[in-house]
Amino acid sequence: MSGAGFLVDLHRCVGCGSCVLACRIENGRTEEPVWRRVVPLNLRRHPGGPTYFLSVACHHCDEPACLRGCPSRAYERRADGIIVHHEDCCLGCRYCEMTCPFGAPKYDEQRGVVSKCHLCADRLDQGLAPACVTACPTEALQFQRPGVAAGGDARAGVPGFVDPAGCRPNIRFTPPRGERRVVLFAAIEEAIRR
Amino acid sequence: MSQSRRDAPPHTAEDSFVAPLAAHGTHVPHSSRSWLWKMSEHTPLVWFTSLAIGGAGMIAAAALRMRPDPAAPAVALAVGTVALGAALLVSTLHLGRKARVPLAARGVGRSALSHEILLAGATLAAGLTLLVMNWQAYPEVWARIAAASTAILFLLSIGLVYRLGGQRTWRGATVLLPLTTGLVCGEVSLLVIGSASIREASVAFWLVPIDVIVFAARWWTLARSASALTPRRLDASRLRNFSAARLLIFDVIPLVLLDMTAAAPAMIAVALGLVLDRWLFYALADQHTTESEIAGVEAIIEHQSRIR
Repeated sequence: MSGAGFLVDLHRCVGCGSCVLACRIENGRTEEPVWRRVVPLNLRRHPGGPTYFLSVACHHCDEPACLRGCPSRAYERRADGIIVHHEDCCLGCRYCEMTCPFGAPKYDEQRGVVSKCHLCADRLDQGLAPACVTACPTEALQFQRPGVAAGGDARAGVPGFVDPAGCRPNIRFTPPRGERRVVLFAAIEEAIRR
Repeated sequence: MSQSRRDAPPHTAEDSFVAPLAAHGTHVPHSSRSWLWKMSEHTPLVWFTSLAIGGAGMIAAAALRMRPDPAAPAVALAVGTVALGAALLVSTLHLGRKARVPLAARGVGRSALSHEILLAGATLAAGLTLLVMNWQAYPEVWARIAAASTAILFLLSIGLVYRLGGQRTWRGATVLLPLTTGLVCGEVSLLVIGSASIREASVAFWLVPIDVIVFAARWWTLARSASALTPRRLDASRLRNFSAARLLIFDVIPLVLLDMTAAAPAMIAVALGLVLDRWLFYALADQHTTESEIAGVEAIIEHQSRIR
């Protein structure tokens, strides 16, 4: 990871949605669209099978497709790698929705512009962590400072999360540990390899 | 995590829709519900690209065929220019902030969409210039070649706009489809209003087979991505039906009609086929998101558990 981003511990995340709620409160987003979401893997199809939760928002990619594609240059990369979106330049053409392979930019029907997670840049400037990170009760969601490599077992891709467009997203995942990892996580990876 | 949490009932609107079917073992594509919704969302783009491709194709074909008989190409040039102008107006309908259209030029040098918009404007200007020149005298060769080149570049740029890493169904040969469909459209339009000299020199019988090859390559790619082990939302039978209809209406029927020298009905078929082609293009869009990726993984797990 070269820019600022997130580290998600899949062993700790219980899918409570506190991060989603914190994001909505912090950014005053009482209605759709929601910038952060918790996506469960295998929660409904196979109740006895492996389950974990991916808490995802904008990944502030090193090669952001949204920034490259935007015809009005509404996207800008800050020095710390955060990709911010300037709504006053947005045409509402929704091309960034098509280009982003992670579904991060969200179109706001009422305002006619796109918006997305800005990694609580204003909070970071004050020395605070992003609201979603602060609200996580299990510390599964962590902020990664720019230029700092995620340590331990963190990896860029896990089953359910790939980078098909070469965007180099600044998010890392720590896989489940112990028995869950052997029985569940490894079983999914094995199934995909086949 | 507790068992009750794992077995929690569906909690989103889509889950409520899917769960009753899934509980009975029915395979429900993850985004099946969004198919018709996607079309209403993309309707302005379907009309924009249909009009723009048809218009630019007419401008390109007419610009290259103004000698020795400029009368018929001039009509095609006028119709193409009007169609392209209408396309540009229609393209603004899907914008959330229409007044900010001029900002679209800021992305030149970086954004494929900015390049497409600028080339659309340039093609429109080239069409108008050629029309004015034609009013006074035969347009110079350089002017005709410049106009045709701009129109062809614009047709190529339409394909490049949609060559996106996160879109599985808009890659490969799909990029060339606006160019081949546009040129077919332009050439057939000349046959409708053209003189005997234009009909004798027509390249429609070459262009249509080229379009068939390009579309077949796209069809093949789509069919592979819709295979059983790639759990995507593409439904194989729906894909087969619409792709066959497109091939029939845009390529086969016009070719037969042209062989019977029925150029006007051939043009009607080409126009209908062009709209169907663009409709199909957006209907089969397969946007990659984390949710769709997870749906794919879940389907693989399901498939593995079935064959065990």
